[in-house]
Amino acid sequence: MATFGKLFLGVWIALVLVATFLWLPSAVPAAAGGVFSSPDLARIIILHLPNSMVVIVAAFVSGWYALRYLTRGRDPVDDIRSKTSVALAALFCVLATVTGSVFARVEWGAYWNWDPKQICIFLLLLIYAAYFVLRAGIEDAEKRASVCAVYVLFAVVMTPMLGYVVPKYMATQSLHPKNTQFDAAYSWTLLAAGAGFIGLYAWLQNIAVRADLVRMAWEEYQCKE
Amino acid sequence: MSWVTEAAAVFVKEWVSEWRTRVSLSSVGLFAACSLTLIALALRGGAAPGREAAAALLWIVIFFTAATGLGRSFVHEEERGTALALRLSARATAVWAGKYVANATVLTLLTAIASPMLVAMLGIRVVNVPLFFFVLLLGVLALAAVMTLTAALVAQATARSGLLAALSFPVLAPVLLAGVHGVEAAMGVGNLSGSIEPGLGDLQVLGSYVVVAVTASLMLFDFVWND
Amino acid sequence: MLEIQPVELELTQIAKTYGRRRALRGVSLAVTGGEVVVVSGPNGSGKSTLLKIVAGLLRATGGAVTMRLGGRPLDPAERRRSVGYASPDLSLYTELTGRENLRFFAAVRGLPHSFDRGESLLDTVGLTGRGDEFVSAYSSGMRQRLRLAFALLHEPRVLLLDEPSATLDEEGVELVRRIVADHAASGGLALLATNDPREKAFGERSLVLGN
Repeated sequence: MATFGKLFLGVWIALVLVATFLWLPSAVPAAAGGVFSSPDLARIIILHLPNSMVVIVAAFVSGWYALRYLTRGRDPVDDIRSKTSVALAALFCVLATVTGSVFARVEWGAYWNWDPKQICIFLLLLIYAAYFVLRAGIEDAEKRASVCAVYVLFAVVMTPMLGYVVPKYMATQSLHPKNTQFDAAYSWTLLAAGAGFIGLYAWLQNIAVRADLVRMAWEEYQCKE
Repeated sequence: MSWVTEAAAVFVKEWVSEWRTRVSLSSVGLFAACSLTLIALALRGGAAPGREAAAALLWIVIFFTAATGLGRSFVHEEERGTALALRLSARATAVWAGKYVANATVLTLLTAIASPMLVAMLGIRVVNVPLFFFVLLLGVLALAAVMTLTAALVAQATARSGLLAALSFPVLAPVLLAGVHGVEAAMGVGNLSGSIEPGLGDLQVLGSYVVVAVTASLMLFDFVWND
Repeated sequence: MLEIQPVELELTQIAKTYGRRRALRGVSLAVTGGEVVVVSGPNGSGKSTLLKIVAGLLRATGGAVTMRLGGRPLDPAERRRSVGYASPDLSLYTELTGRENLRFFAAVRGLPHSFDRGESLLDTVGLTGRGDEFVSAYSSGMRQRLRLAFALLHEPRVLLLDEPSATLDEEGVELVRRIVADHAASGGLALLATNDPREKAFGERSLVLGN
């Protein structure tokens, strides 16, 4: 089953990449009223947008396991799942930022311009960084797990507000196009890429959790004096 | 009813302790005084900054002063071992509420002293005083709510310096954005007539933030306190 | 006086690890009202940890604590507020007076007419006339006496005392003996963590923790 899943995911992502580079037409050029100065490179979006989707999914997954940890029997595995999801959310935050910067540079000439979406991603990165500093600062495993779970949950409750508040105040003209006139081909490829990236995240999550379980078992073993 | 008296007991204890030891009042006061002096020195008497910069400076002073002072109460309890006695005696929500109100009053006092000083120092006229007041008040209530919860988290960690600011800043971003904008509006930025209209949206954002932050903290604090 | 409810305490396979160090491994115990258990063992054998876990101040890595009052099991939050606990780790507010401390803890417990109780407790633990001094001016023995008053404030059915007479004089040891004996006589149960031979005589049952 696991092998089949991995194989399927590999083929799926390969197909998405093939579609991106060979099948997808280039976007509407700026001259013809489009938003991209380099229409060929607009395909980068297929590798950019899904990162943000994964960040959102991973953030909610980490919140879910944090809640489960606190309310259902304090299973250390739930803590590990939550922590791993935070780490992956941070990783995909970085990927979204890097791909977005490259994208913005080739299309609009600037790597970074503090537009609302960039600020939100950046604030999320700060939260994840703070999370790991907090985690490193607590010795007792049970205490660490519950304190970190509370912070994750608090962040999950408070951050959706950013999505409303930041665009309201940061009215600098956004690099993120508002009314993108993508044709259906783009929408479908994006959707497929999103599914592929989320699959990739699920796979990474699974591996990282298992690696942590091994680490935990090893520490337990060493504990025998 | 008994919950209210329990929370009130915690609040009164906080203030009596605070008054006798001045653990957070001294650090909050000194920090605010230092940062105001630094601003005065940096401006060297001339070159007054624009109103946008003044609004930003005001919130920077408030945020970092809060981050240095509000963490003290929980850390002090954990370090001395009084947290054990309190855990054995009080309900988590009553402890949170008592500490929250105590923190909010400390921060309100500080803001009430520091913000007129800063405004006077920079030679800026506040065109709408009620708006200025309410934006700061709601902002302070939001700051205190977030920091009372995060301070309880930080008190469990060994490396604490700077952690409170790091944990609470990204969560507080909406408050700081709305607060800066509201203060700007009260100072007359894009608001020549000095009406309250341009700041109403900010008050809404701040008000709803306070409600969400207080509810979430009250619910989550139980898990920190009882572990 | 309220009707006295029977109390039971049951520990099953309590284990606790701090990082890679195992503090407790599978401790089981069943105690009922009227019994006093002396928990002893070398330093670092987990006596204090065990008492903290029973009080609900620490979460065990494994195992379960069940406390029943009048047959009804208490949830962890209720358990924490219903035990009477004193240990060297616990401090009272040094910037408050002894009386203010007792009054504060009675208030956060929502105890009615609490002040009389606090007053008589000050007498019981031998702090008569010293109640209005700041705790910061108390000697370590007086602080220990105040801790005992704190533990007894809400008339708990379960007493958990960690080295109760470590800093006390002969008279103080006698005080602890009397407190524990009265507590057991009124149907309460007590756990005493100690290696002091004088205190070991306070209980008829013993639990020895190995290293």
